[in-house]
Amino acid sequence: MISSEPRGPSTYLTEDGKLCAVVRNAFDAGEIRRTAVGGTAVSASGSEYDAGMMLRMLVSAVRCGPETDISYLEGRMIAEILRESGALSPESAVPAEDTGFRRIPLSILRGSGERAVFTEDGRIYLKITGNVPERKRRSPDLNRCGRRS
Amino acid sequence: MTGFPDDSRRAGDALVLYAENGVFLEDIDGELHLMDGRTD
Repeated sequence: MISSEPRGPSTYLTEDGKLCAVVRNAFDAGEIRRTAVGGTAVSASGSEYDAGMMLRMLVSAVRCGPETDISYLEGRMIAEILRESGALSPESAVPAEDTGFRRIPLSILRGSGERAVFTEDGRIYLKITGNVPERKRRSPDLNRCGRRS
Repeated sequence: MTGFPDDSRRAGDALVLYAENGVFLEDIDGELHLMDGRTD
């Protein structure tokens, strides 16, 4: 049997009327605004976003654009969080819930030179599996979307 | 929540809703804007 469900909203980031990034199955502007003033929103994967998580997602969207899906961005964000936490080996692995994400989309990191790996006791770390292409190691660049002049 | 608690109002009708690490969300005339205030 094949079934389906409605797609989530797409989040568009534009600059002077030009589209610079779109995130599929993400959040509508009302949800983003709600988190910015203290509320939360739940992504398609079931992860709860507060303002910090939402801002991180939007920055990732600009960096990874022009068109991504929320699942891909969540994989990238988890990798960033693990890297920032220093969770780069089984010994330094952190509890999965510390990433803030309810579901860890392991396959999303395929091709990035990185892989999220679970330890036997359920913790998680980032394993560097190969060379990361230069274009994927750039720091966030918001020049295309909203750099304050 | 971090940001500009004592200076949330900016020029014109812009309002900083949330800020972190130099990146912030602004409400300008009812529209959301992702802004980068970093100087790197």
